[in-house]
Amino acid sequence: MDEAERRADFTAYVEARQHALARLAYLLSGDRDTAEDLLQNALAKVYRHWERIQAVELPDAYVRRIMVNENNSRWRRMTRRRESPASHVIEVLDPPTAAHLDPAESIDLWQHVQTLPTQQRAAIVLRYYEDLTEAQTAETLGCSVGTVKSHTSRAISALRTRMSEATA
Amino acid sequence: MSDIDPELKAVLAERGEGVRVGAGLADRAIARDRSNRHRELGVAALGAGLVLAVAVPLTWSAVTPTGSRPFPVGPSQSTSPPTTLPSPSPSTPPSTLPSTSGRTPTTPTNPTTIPTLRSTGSPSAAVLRPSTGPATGITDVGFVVDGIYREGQRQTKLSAPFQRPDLVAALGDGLLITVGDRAVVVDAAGRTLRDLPTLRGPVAVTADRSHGLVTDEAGNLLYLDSRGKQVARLAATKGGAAGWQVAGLVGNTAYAVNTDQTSSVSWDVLSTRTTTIKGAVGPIDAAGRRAIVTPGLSPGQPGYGCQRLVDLTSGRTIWNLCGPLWFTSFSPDGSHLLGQGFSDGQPPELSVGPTGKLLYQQFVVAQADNGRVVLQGGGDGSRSTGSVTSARFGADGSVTAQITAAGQQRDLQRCTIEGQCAVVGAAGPSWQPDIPEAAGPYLLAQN
Repeated sequence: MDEAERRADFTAYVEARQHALARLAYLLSGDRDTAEDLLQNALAKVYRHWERIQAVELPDAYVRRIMVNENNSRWRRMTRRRESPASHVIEVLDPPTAAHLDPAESIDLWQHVQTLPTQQRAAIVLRYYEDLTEAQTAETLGCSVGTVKSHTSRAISALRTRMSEATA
Repeated sequence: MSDIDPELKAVLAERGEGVRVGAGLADRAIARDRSNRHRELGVAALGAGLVLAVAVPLTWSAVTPTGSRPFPVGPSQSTSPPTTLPSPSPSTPPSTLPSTSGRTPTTPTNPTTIPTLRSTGSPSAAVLRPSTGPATGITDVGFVVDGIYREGQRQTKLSAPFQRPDLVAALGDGLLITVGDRAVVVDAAGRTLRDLPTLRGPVAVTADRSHGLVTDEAGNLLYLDSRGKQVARLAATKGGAAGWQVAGLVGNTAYAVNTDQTSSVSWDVLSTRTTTIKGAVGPIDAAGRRAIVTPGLSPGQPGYGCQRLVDLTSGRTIWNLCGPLWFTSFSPDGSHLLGQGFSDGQPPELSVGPTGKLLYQQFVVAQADNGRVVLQGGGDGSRSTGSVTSARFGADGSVTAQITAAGQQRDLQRCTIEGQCAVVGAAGPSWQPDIPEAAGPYLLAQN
């Protein structure tokens, strides 16, 4: 695969998957700038190893792992690139509230999700948004299935408690 | 499924729905990869041998000997006794590392104390003071801008495929250039002399530019003449699972690091003798007399985060420095070291002080004799102006650096060790102006 083919192949992949990957990045980080940084770093690494990744591995799984790992890095958050608004490729709009959700509760729950510890938030995003199995989530997080269960359980418990407190 | 599960799924889906992606994400990722490669080329010689602070309770003002340690040289792969060249010239380096020819490492005959230093950020170093405006000075450091290689009065127009290279090194009268998977040696007029195999990692060139050292994609170490012809080769199989990584080239002695960063090799190209060195070697000064050696340790291991300055002629460790400094090159006279003041991706507690501030800024210059940082700049590297994106020593010991300027542009400045800078290349946009992480507009030569 020459450079032009590689670039074209990679670009086709990104164009096909960019919305899904950007959403994951945003849900993991809860922040547009961080999401953009996570996504671009992950894709840069995918591009570096494109031949191998597209040949032997699912690119989405690789991108997920990188984004989760980088989001877990406090250092990454400390030193991430700061760019001008004009440079953003990700935009986050106010979403239409799903018909069966109370708007206020929806906002509260989203805010509580963002206060979860990074690993717990990653676990619930992978389980409840990406619909990954516990084993797939464990592989992505680089931990055991038991740890995934623990992260998920604690996250749900914390969310339930906080939502109860808010309601009360 | 608990009562909160459906609601959580709905909220995550709802929030995800609000995310939109604009055009050009793939282009930006490719540009970021290119930018990352540039940074890695500048610092790859130390690879994973990171230098981070450890708890050695000493300060610059209290440098204390901690006892003698042998220079850790592993078994030689040669069966012949080591050769020591007593008076190495810049083009003829010492074959110096005390090869043990199968013996276990021994203590030098005249053991000396090795000061272990802890870099604490104190005393404060001079801070880089970038200038602004049009070019008012000149630099002797070679660089590419607008598809032209410039070095003093010399100019070489690069042909179309090579006008935005990933790496440029002056070799012979021409240049060694890599772009993507292509690598070539061109003559002074920019005509291709030789196509090289796909290269990876940094390259090294002798001080007289007569020879080059590169690593091919398989990890083999290739020693080239001034026109790019392969003169000698050290097989990748001796360099670990992924072969070698170039560390330096002094005369006919090549230095390379095993890809696991735990050991290095000194390869005498003429005699083909190789000597194993414990730790990752590099950078090496132009005379081949001193080198930084970083132990290939993992976090938590004693000595992790420290690096040694080693006298290659005697094997003596001059100092052992522990702190968030990552040196990438010596000044031409060997008196100073250029490097970084922290390493991206490392735990902040190892690079920041008690107040949460970084001990050092992004860019540092230190005295080689004692490791003391005398100049720093660039903040944490994320400033909209004043970040140092690449830097090289000039022949006079000044530093030429590409620095971010207003409007996401970058200029080229020549700065003294005292931090005073003059613009030597006007500010311009990166090669892809709409992509902040794209490279350029200046690419500094490797030598």
